[in-house]
Order: sequence, then C-alpha cells, then structure tokens
Amino acid sequence: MTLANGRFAQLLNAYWLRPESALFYEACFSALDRAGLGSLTNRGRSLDFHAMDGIPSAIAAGARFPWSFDAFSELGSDGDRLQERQVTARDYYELAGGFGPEHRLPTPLFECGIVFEDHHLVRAESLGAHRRVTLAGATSPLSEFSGEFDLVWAINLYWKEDLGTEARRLRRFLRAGGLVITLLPSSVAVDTGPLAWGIPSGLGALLDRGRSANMQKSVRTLSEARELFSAAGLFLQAVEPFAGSEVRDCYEVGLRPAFPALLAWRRQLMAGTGEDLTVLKSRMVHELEEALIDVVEGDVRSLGKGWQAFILSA
Amino acid sequence: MTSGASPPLGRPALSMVESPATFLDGLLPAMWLRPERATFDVLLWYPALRLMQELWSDSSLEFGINSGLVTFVGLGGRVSSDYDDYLDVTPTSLASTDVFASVGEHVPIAVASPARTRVSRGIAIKPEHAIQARRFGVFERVVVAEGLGSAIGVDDHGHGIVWAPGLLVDELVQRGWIRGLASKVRSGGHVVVPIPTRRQTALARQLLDRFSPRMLQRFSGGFLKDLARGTTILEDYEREFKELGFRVVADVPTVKPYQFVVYAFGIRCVFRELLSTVVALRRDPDRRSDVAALKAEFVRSAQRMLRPVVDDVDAEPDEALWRVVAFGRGSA
Repeated sequence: MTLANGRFAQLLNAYWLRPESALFYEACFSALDRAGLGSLTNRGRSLDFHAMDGIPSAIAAGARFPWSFDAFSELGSDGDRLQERQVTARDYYELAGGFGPEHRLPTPLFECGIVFEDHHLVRAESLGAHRRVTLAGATSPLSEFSGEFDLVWAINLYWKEDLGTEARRLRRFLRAGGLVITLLPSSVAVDTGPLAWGIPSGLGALLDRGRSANMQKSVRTLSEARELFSAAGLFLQAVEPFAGSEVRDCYEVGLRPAFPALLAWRRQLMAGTGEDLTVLKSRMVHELEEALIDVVEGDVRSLGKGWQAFILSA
Repeated sequence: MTSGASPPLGRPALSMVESPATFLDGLLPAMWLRPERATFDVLLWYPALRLMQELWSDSSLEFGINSGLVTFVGLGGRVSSDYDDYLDVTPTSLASTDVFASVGEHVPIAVASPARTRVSRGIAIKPEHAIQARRFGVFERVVVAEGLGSAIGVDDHGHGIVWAPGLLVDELVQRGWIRGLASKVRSGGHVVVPIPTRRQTALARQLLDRFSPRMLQRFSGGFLKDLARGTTILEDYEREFKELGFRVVADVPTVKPYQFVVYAFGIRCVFRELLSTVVALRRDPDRRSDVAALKAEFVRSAQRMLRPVVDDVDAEPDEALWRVVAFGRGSA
C-alpha cells in the first residue's frame, strides 16, 4: 500500500482520530511556510523543545510514516481504564506506551528532544525522531545545552507556565545566528475561543484539557509578544498569523467531541477485523483530507486569526 | 408564558421525554452514525416539547413529518438497541450523490416501548416518511401530501396545536405557507415553529462564503444555504401571523453558537466512511455480528461527549441562534 502523500495527509494519518489536531498543525506549518522558514533539515544542530511525543515535529521535518502508524496505536489495549480516563485525564497519552520498533524512524531528524513528562519520554525515545531525548524537570535549567543549537523548534512553548523564563531559556540554547521557531495564541483566540462561547465548565473540561487556561496566560498582542521575546534577547525575523475562525471552530469544538467515539470505533475494529484497519484508515484519511484541505488552504484569507507563528533570532 | 412541566387545568397532558440527555440517549441507537444530527434535533425539539406541554390539545397536528423518529422518542418512545436507520443501506445507495439521503427507508421499526403521548395527525411530504411514521405509531393518522403546496392544501383544520418543525426554509415565510398553517388551527389554538435568528443567518452566511464546494458537500451545505437566505426570521413570522390574528405567546431561545459548530463542522464529514464500513460489515456473514459491539461502544462514547452539549439547552436571548416560538390564535 502506498504511503500517505504530503504533510497534511501524514498528519491525518497520525491523528486520524483527532483530525482537528492535524488541521491545527497543518495550519501552523503552512504559516511557517509563508513566513519563509523552508526545510527543517540541514539547519545544523537542532533542538525540539517540549517535544512531547515528537510526532508533529517529525512530520514537519519531513518524516513519512506508513499507514499502519498512528498516534493512538498504543491506546485502547485496556478499554475500561481508557473509557474512565477519557473523562478525567488531562492528557490521553498518559495511558500510551511507546511505539513499536517497526515504526521507529530510520534516521533522527533533530539532534535533541527535551520532554517534561515521563510518558512523553517513553514515546519520543521509541519514535526515534531525536538523536537523544532528555527528560527535564519543570524548573530544570538544562544548563548543559547552553549555546549549543542552530535551530530551536518550540511549537509547544505555549503549554509552559512562565513564558518569560522559557523564552530566556530558549535564547540560552542558541548559538550565534541560530533561530527559534515558536507559536503563541493571541487575544483573538482568547476573546473569541471557547471561553468566550459560554461553554459549560463540565463540557469545557472535556473539550479543552487546559488549553484555554494556557491561552489566557499568554501574550495578547503582537507588540506584547515582541516585548516578551526581546526581553529574552530574541528578535523577530518573521511573524505569520494563522488559525482563522474556521480552523479554530473545527479545532476547538467541531471535530473534537468525535474523538471518544472514533477511538471506540477503532478499538472495536481492531478487536474484530484488525486486518482491514489500514484499508479503512486510508479511506478515512482521504475523506478527511478532502473535507479539510480547503479549510487549511483558505486559512490565509480567513478573518480572525487567533495564533501567530514566529521566527526569532538571537 | 414560561415553559414548565404541568399543563394548565383542563388541558390534556403531553408526556414527554424526561431530559435532554434522555432524549439524546433515545435517538442515538437509531441515529448513531449521525450523532451531531441527534444533538441538533434535541436542541430544537426539547424546548419545543416543553413549550407544547403547556399548550397541548386533544387535537394536534405535526406538519411536515420526517420518519417520525424524533417525535416518537421525544414523546417517550424507545426503539430497540438493534434497530437503526442504516439497516438496509446498500453499496448502491451509498454511491448516491447525497449520502445523507441514503439511509434506509424501508427498515422495519423495532419499538421497545411506545410513545406515551400520540399526536392526532401527521402530514408527510414524502410517501416513504409516511410509511416509517406509521410504523412508529406515534401519530393516530398519517396523511401523505407530496410537496409543501399539497401539504398546505390538505383539508385538515380545527387543530388545537400545530407543530411544524421541519419547515425551516424560506418558503414557509411566504404568506401562502403561513396562511396554510394558520388555517389548520382553531380559535384559541397555537402554532409552534422553530425559527432561526439573524445571528444564525449571519453565521451561516459567514461559513457559506468561505466554504469551498468540497466542504459544502461534506459539511452541511444544503442547510447552510437555507439558513443563509435569512428570510425566515422572527420578525417576518410575527408580521405575517399578526395579520392573521395570531400573537406571540411564548418565545424560547435555543442553540448556542458552539452547539451549531458541533452540528455543522464536526463528525458529519466522515459519515460516508463510517456508514460504508458498517455496510461492508453487515454484508459479510462472518463479521455481521461485530456491528453490535461496534455500535454499542460508539454510542456510549458519543453519549459521554454530547450529553453535556444537549444539557446546555437553555440559551440566553442574545446568544441564541434559534427561537422556538408559539403563536396563539385569538383568545386562549
């Protein structure tokens, strides 16, 4: 069977049960394309900061996975526990183990990955997108990495508590002439996102898993972002807004409630007709791509963009 | 008038489903591959049924019925868990341009428990709807009148309450349709209709302007186009009904923007693939039995996420995309 072509198809292949995540990442990576980032390979020593499991970073850097790969391949082996945790867990992936050896990337794409949680370490190490993966404590200075990297890829920066401290840390990682790539939500995402939609708190907790709280702690405007980064010694080379209302509607609310049902769907198919799952999945990915590609491509013209992708230099 | 549980003294009782979540639970076994549609139906029908509890009459009419499923479940009926809307879908019907219309129309209804209240009359615009609706047994009598004009012309007058849930499109606001509906209501009776607001029209136009043809096909293109026309807003209804001697007696806001996004911009884009998998499994004798477990877990998971959405049925007037409005004729 052929491989899913293109970056968006690869994201959907990995996140076919969470297509809203694939949509968000593709909108982000497209914004970085527009900002002139170019390829992530051959950029010298590269760091994937707060790498989590490394899947979106790997795909952004050109990794191509087979149809048999997905972000949820290790989920669902313990159904009752999973069902319970779907309601309460902050992160579904806490339940997940590592990826099988058949899905390990043949060549690392980043010199180093820094993760902050044990379950991310297990997954990132087994994925093989990084030559080495380091588990950092929440307040770890990571001083061993000072001045070491030409490229710091930090697309999950917005999950961190203290952006000022983290921005200074990113600056310290850089060699002279190096670049930091990151993204942050803006006031638009906060003011017009789920918090502003009057979603009841119980449902909000199911849909949100902490993102809105993080967004509220973030900067509100481009000038605030510029100030935050320049205080850390990082200077704006390019900024590109992304995630207009269609991407955000779909990401925050539209497709998100479908995840538990789609996960249940996959689990039952695995139990009964597992041998056909890749065929089903490839069709589903194709259908999702047909439905969502115009959302991604239309994002550049969309109004009310709630996020900004930054290319920063020291 | 506010919506409440007890009818005024002397009125016949309408016994309805206990809560929005129970309503959703009742619809999902039949509509399990369209959970977003079940959710939206609850958001429109639950407030309407609650409102109709206060206005119920011994002579009731539902104008423009579909299969009757939503009425049946809303009035306390239950289908058995092994029944669903997709039992007779074939690969041929799956290949139709509008896959959402490929659901079974000739599936025997498996009623687990009957509706607690029956509606006196149902007027169906499509014959296949009448066949299904008769099987649910929620209407005492079903009349087929192909096309809206024909349905309006049905000589069936003097009802105490007329509910027209499916006529959301712009034709209804034309004087002829409203006169037709009004003519079926006796003095002191009521018409109850769900009406999109200007906010809904604006949101539909916004989505429609930006959706490509591929997106319109996979998301809710036809419905968005209907809504975007924006002619069916409350003021138009009020004006037309007022001229016919009606006044607004109740006006219940419902459907918040995020709830519409769940409906219009969510799981429906993979309906074709979900359905085609189910059709393939059902046609394979060795795998047919897998569907029951697949469905059971899918429904459980959908319930978990969507119950909070339907429980949030009471919207503030300034955020609602829809209003369920009761117009009263003359003095009650």
